[in-house]
Amino acid sequence: MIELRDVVKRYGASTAIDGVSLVVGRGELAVLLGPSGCGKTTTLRAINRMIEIDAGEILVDGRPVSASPPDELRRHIGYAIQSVGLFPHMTVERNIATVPRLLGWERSLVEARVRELLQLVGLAPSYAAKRPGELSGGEAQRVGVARALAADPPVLLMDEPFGALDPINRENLQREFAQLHRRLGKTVLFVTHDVEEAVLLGDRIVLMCEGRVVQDGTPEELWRAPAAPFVKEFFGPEFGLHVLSRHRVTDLPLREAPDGRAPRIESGTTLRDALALMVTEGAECVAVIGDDGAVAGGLTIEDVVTGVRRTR
Amino acid sequence: MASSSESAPAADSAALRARAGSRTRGGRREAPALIGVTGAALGALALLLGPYLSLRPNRVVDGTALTGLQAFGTVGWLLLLAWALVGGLALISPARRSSLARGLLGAGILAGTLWASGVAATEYAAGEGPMARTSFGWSFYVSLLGLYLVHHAAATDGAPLWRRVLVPGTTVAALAAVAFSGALSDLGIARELALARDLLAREITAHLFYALGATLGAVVIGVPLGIACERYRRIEGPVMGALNIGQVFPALAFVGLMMPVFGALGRGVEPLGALGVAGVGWAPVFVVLLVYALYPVVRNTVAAIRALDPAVVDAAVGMGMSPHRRLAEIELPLGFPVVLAGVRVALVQSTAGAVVAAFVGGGGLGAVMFFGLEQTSMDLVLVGVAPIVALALAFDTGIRWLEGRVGAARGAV
Repeated sequence: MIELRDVVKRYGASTAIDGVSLVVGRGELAVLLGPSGCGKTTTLRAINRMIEIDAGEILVDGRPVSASPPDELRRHIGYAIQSVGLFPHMTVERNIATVPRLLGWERSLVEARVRELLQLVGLAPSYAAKRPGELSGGEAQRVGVARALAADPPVLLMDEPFGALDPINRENLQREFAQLHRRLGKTVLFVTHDVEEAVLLGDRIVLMCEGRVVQDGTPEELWRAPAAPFVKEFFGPEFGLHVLSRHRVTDLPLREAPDGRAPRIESGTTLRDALALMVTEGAECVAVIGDDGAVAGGLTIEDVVTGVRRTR
Repeated sequence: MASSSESAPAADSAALRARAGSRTRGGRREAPALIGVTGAALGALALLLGPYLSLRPNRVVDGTALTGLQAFGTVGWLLLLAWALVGGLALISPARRSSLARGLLGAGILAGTLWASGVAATEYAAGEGPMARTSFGWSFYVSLLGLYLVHHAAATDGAPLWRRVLVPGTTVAALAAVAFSGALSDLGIARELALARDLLAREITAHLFYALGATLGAVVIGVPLGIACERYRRIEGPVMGALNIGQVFPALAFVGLMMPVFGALGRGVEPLGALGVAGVGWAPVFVVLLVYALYPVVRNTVAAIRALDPAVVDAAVGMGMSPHRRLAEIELPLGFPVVLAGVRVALVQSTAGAVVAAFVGGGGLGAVMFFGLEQTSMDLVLVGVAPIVALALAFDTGIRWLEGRVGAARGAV
């Protein structure tokens, strides 16, 4: 769990973060979102004391971060950044093993952990011996995530980890990371300025502007009840579409099965993909196929539009 | 996360590098013709005009100066023909096609010129006796410059290994063959070398002591000092300022300043005096060279750490690496090639600078050189200078090679 209470950071006359309070519950993935210069990265870096704050309090798992020496603290908080920062003179294995080595793990334990992590982030075991220079951007970021997870920290800080990737790689990594998060149940604070990424990944979104929290809630809450005009403005006209991709067709009550001409979709399909199919096919209604292969029911455009308003 | 194949960007960047490579080669295509022809013209003119060899009955008196053609006779005409051939080839076929022929011809010209000079010296010595001195005049050095240009124009960067080493290899082999045939033994420089052989061995040792010792000292002091400067910016200004002042101080004046200091130290502190520390001799020279060598080492150490990818440092800090650990595992290993470049500059600079020792009775190759100047014997000066140049070039090449190897191993692109 991460907790910030009235945190303030000033640089000379300007205030980078101005009384930020937020809580990231255990196992929750919270996204710190906002335009550049809003203080989101400063907030993130204050948690592992890369930046020392001027006022307020920060707790990780109930303990004030100011109570432990910075290096000690950081070894128990995972850290992944946009530019990855892999050590170019070390193998992938040694890179991933950085924090376990700092913690003095036994060699055999480290080796086993590296193999496990490579598999976890979808890289073949042969990658262990490679150098960062031999990796593509996506592979390097996978190694970066593996390195952040290496010592199994309960808390993970990520600063635009997928920001430098091309759209296809980014989407793959986002989707895989969401699955990984569900599986591992880490407490994650994730900084991004990408609205779509925030809505897709965030259990909660903390929207910041000029050093303050503008609104803090689930993506659905921010969408349905924006606390300020800035919220609506920042998320833009596609906000609802992004929210659609958070939900699957089976999250909505299905109506009676349509006739045989309706396009068919599987039950795992997102509402966004279902809507896209209807628009593309010019169909009012789609047939949802259940896990048993039989038509489980139907869904109309109206069902999607009104249904998503009621999701949580 | 599921596996995915993402090798496309790597392949892209390889293609990009290849394209960049071909572009540089393309851009240089026009220059070799001009350089090659200029080199050949210099070589030919040097044979025809100016003093190529000077013949003197002994080391001290003036003698007669001969042009290349006068000195070499028929061989001179053959050499002229070879120069013309090199120039012609460079003119009609400037590209890489004739570069092998031009390079090999250049090697032949060098060996032939030396051999012909040796023969001329032997003939002269037969009439004049063992005191006779046959020395190279400035035209000879002009022809060396011409050869350098010819070789440069025939350089083959992208060619396979055997192709790149063939010309230098042939040149060295031809030179060695001429030298070991004994044909050069009557040249003035060979005679001086024979006379000064024992002296030379001793002074090379002394010279190496100065150059390597001062550089080693500079590394031992300079690397920690550089690290400290990078860590504590407050001390960087004063330290770099002081080293800068040392740097602009003329070496001889600097040694002069040190003389009373070391004189007092040698007299006052028994064990130092026993080691030969005194106002003159090795101690002031050693310290002055060390101070000069400190500057590149400190500066490059600071630069090496500062030039690291900020993301790499940020990641190291963010994962909880202590400053010591960061230094040992990240900053020094990654910055090593840059530090090494500073050591290279320090070593080359100390090798050249160590001649100053001769002024204060510290020996070294400078002593040979100044002895030659006193005797007005250019041959003896060369006997002192040539090893300095050779050592400096060898250090430079050797450490450069090491930098490249280390850089590649560190994953630098």
